[in-house]
Amino acid sequence: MKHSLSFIFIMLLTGACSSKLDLDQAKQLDIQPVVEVDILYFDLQKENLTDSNALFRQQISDTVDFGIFEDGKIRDGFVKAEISVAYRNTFYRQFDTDFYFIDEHDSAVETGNFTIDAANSSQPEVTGETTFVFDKTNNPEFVNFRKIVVKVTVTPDNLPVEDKSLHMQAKGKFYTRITVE
Amino acid sequence: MKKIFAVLIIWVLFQNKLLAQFEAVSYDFWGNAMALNTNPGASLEYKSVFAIPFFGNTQVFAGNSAFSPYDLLAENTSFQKNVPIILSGLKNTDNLLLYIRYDLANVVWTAANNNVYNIGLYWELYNITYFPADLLRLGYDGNAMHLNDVFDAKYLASKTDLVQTLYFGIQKRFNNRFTLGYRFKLYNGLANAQTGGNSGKLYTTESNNNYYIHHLEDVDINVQTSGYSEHGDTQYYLSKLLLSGNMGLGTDLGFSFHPNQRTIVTASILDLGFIYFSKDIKTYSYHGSFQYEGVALQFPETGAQDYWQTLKDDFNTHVVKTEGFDSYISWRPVRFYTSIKYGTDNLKKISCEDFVDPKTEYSSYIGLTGFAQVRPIKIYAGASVFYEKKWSKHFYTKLNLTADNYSFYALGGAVALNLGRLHFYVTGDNLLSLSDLAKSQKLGLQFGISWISFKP
Repeated sequence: MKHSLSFIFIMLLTGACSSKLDLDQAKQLDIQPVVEVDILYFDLQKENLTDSNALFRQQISDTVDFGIFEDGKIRDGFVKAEISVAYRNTFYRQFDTDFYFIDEHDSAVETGNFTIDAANSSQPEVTGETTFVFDKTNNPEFVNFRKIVVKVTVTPDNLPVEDKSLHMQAKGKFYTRITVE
Repeated sequence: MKKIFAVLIIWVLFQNKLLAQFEAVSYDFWGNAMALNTNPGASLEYKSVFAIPFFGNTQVFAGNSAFSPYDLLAENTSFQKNVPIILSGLKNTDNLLLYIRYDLANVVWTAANNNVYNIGLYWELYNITYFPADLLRLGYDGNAMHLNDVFDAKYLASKTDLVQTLYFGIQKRFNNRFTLGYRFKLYNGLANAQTGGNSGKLYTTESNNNYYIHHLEDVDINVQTSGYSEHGDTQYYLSKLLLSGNMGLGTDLGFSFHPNQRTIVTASILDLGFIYFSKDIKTYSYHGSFQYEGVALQFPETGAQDYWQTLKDDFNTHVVKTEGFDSYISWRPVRFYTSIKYGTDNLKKISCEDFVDPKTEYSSYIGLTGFAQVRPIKIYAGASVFYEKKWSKHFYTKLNLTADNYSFYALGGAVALNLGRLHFYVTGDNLLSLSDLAKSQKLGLQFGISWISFKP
């Protein structure tokens, strides 16, 4: 048995080794996370389409800051954005909707627009969805936007305004490529 | 020749990736001069032990329950492709463990009344970090493919301790059958960082107003640190070696019992104690809940609303980050051991007398060991079978086969060698994975040199 133990010991010593590892690979890791998040929504009622003097507001707009691209790493990691907008209209009016992506100089670096059909008696609710796609190659200025302006133009532009609503919601799906070092 | 052939077969059969056992090999290894470290009530083979200063006992253990270095960094494979493969198999209870113990001094002596006394001082680095697998996949993939998943903060857990321990122990042999031992420990906490017991959920549901509602629900995350806040150089830590101000108390308890001549039952509990951290404290906490479903545009007639600032203010109001300096208690990672072993000498000649007088020594034992350690999130537990043999008073060996949370089986071994009065011992986990260290998920080694005297 002593000879057996010596044999085991020698085998262990001579058997110790390690498969080769490439440690240089671990210096950086590229990841491509996709982030999907709500951006904005609104419900236009008849109060939004008339001013304090009861005059019709044919064109209304609002602005929301969107500072996510202020971070240089996020700007560098941007690949593509899909901005999806869904709506539900019960007004008997048509809405021309514009999304302006505005930079810090108040210039529009990218735009997206679509028309929402008027509802009617046979179609009391008009729904739909549209998607704007901006990618790094075709829309290199997209990462420079710092706020979104939503502008809605109503036709026809006459009073009184119906007691109806226009609901709109928007989300973004952002594709990124980030190098972790 | 037949014996050599049998050994060769065993060598070939065990050329597999095997995993390790945390101190289970050295526990109840009666040839080891450091036996009292794992059971203060252990039967010690030696009358006195004087560990060679700085060389008396060194323990290193490193483990990763999820993957090996080869899985991640094998040559001629792609690290980029290996990472998502590993992520897909990762569990929230997977963890990284690093344990280093370095004994500066250890002295054991037997008094005239046969009580055994021991005193010693050691440094210890302990780190366990759990992989929050779901959160790592969220960071790697983004949330777009995880909109139906719930992410739980309870899997955020990590503990790091750098501790100096001074101990004094007594062992009393009450009779031929029962021995009880005790160690009193004084802890000196040099540095600590811990987070655990966290709660909070991140998930997404459908919304009536927008596409989704993103929920951050009942977040309660706490991080406590000591020793990291301002200083961190070697001189600073050396100045803390006497008294850091972060002190604690603990105890080890253990016994060995001979129900009959051939059988020995042992059990111990180690590091039942705590450290009260009150110096160089920095704590961080996050509490609250928040829901987000996009910005609600109002289309004001005049002026513009600062929606983004309102959103940030709302978030900061509902999810509060607090930094503090409150003292806190850190509990030591308690360990439990137990064993039962049976003397195998002269089995064919067993008589009734063999079960009466426990004085007779045996040269070989087979036995079972059970062990557990309290850790954040999940208790680590396992059991092993072992065979140990005393070849002479100069040479002892032990082989262990263990099953635990990490593996169905793992092979370990121990050797104690006395060259005159100079005692050497070495304990190894994961012995046969030496054939390919890169594929090993755990490695453990314990060794030391002592000056001993034998019992008459």
